Amino acid sequence: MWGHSAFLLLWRMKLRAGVRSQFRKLKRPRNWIFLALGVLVFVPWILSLFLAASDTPISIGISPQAMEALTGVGILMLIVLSVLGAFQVRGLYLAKEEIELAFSAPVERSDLVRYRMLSNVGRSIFGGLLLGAGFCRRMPEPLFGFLTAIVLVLTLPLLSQAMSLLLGSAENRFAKRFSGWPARVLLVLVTILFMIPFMVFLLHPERLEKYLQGGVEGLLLHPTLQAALIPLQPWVRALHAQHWTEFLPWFGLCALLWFAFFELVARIRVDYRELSLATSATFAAKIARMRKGSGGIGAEAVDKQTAGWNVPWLFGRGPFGAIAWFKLSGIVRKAKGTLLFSALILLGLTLFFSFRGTTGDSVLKSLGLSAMILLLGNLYLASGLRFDFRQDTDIMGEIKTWPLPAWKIFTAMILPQVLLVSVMLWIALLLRSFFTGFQPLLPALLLAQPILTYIWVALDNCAHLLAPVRYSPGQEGALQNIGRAMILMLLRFLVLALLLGCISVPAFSAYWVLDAGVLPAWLVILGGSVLTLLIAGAFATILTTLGGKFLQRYDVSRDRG
Amino acid sequence: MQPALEVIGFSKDYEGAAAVQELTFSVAPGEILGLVGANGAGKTTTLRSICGILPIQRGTVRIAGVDLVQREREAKQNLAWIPDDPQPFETLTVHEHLRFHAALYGVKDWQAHGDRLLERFELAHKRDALGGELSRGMRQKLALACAWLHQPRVVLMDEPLSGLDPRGIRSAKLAIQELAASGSAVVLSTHLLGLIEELAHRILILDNGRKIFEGTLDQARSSLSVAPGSSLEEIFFAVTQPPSVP
Repeated sequence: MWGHSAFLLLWRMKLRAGVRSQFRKLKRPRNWIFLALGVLVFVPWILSLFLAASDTPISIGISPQAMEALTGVGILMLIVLSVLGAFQVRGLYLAKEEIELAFSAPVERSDLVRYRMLSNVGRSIFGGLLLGAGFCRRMPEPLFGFLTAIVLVLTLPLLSQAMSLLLGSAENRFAKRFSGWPARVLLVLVTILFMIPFMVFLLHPERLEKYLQGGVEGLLLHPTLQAALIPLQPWVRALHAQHWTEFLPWFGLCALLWFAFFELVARIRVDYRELSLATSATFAAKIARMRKGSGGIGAEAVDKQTAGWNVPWLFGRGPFGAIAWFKLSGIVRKAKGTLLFSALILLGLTLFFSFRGTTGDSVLKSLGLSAMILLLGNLYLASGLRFDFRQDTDIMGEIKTWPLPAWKIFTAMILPQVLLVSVMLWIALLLRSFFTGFQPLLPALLLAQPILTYIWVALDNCAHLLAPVRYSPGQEGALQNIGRAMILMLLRFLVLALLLGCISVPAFSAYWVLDAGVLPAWLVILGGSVLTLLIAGAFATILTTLGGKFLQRYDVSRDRG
Repeated sequence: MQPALEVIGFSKDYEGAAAVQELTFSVAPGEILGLVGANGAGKTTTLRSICGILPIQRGTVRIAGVDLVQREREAKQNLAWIPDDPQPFETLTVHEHLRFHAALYGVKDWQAHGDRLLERFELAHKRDALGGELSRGMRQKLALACAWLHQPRVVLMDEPLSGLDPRGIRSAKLAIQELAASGSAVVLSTHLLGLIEELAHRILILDNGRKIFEGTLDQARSSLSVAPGSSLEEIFFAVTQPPSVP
């Protein structure tokens, strides 16, 4: 039932290798420190989940029948999310080191599906424990809730795999017929089909009102929803069981369904080889990009549509301009979609803070809210639109040979990202001014913004060049990585705190002089602003120099894979 | 004598474009066939299809007389595939790779043979090294050792010498010759035409997915319009078309 013995052996060896790798890492004392820090963060979090689970059950004030329906809806959502995740995996995903070996070996394809499902189920155990802890508090009997939640979570990868194989089969059969415009027509038809209920409620709002009159409970107990949730009854019943006699039959059925799904999915007859090769190649490329240190947008593939676009040389045609242009090209070709998404998030943030600060607010409060946009926007955009040294770990050797002083290379590499984030934040600040009225200190804020962004990005890159981390989710050493990330974050906040401390000196001095009335107000504000900018500029200069030094001492021989 | 590998009328399309067309050839036990062609000629597609990585769209492939499509598992039992850039498991040791291969191909009592192979490919000192720690040359040697472990009747190699140092190249060449001498059929795909000249008993030249020549080097010299005594390189350039400029 569990598949080819060689793949079971592989599974065991990989598990043992993971533990061995952890021990090998612990040969270095600094990894002990990172591990200890990681454990300090992680273990209390997990414990808090389980301790909270042992508290009084949470009640949300609905009848037990509606609560059962709500559980069913939750399970349905989990299934829908799993199925949607299956759209990213065409056929059967096998890692790059497994795929050619597995396909050329004397192994049944169903055994490969079994191996993959076992791997996915193994990876889901942790998620099952977390969800189990969450379900404990909401179910009448915590233990039953915990056990059933685990079985439920372990069933999801099987459904997801089934969907990937069936989609792969459909693609094999219909891809040729439905590529190009027929596929688009089909997509439009499916969209229309899904839009029909919304349109009905839009055109006949009285029908929606009828449903809403019954409140949440009415919706949950609606016969249509009840009928849709019937297939999920084994899990719902086991979760809501109050006695062993009630729990065991339903739980047994859940376990039986798990085995049945496992065997049925393994027996789906589909030649997934070509699709799997494509999926494996896509994932391998993405993992490779992530291991270079570029998570998020940096790990995305290049958008081929943008290949023909002319990227402007914003910083001249010299070597400095060429480096900046090279980085800007990366932004344009990888972040088209993310730019739009980030702009929307920023717009939301701006509107939120615009309507929080009304016209009756003081100048100081209004400025404070603008500063909040600046701070949160900076944090979000600088990490979401990260286009710095992390994307180019594989060409660090080449970068070090470029004919420019190291500090200039450092600046040119991060400047496009700083410019992009700055432009977006300028637009946000000006938009807020449009809604709330122009503040006299806005120009100072606009002027300070790129310097602050530069400081934040430069600090981030200094930390990366000083102690590069190449970790992608799923790799061993997660706890060490948490600890290491904490130390680096702490370091960055310490430098920022130092900067804020230095800036506060002229700010408080200006406030004191203003209060004393010794000098005209405009002169005090101008003097304070200039001093603040000078201090920020000094910080930026120090970080640039340090960045150059760290780039010079960056050891490319440590980069592997 | 039954051929170790038979390929009859094999064709393969990629999104409507023909990658390989009506390819027919066979390799006898103990024979080394050199597969030659420019980039995109269809060499790797052919090899990956023969070893079952890609599905056979049209045609028949028999390994030791066993049809690859009809009796896939049995056919693959007699086959070994060495890709151009072998990817070992990052966290498994060299020895564990051999152990896994032995289990995969059902090889009993493999330890002594495995140790000999590690010695043969100068990997004995790397026995406990992790796959992720190996250089490209070492990865290639590990792939050769794993492929040799189940004593296959057909070995398919795609650029088997890439990444090897001079000592490794010499060792691999000897190993390929020994393998053929022991009765295995070897299909060797490489751009190193000198290697083909040195090792292959026969050559198969592919151009744009079509077979344009199959036979010995002497037959090539006599049947293709090239000067007597021409090298394989001269033959290759004489019979293949230069890539079209877009």
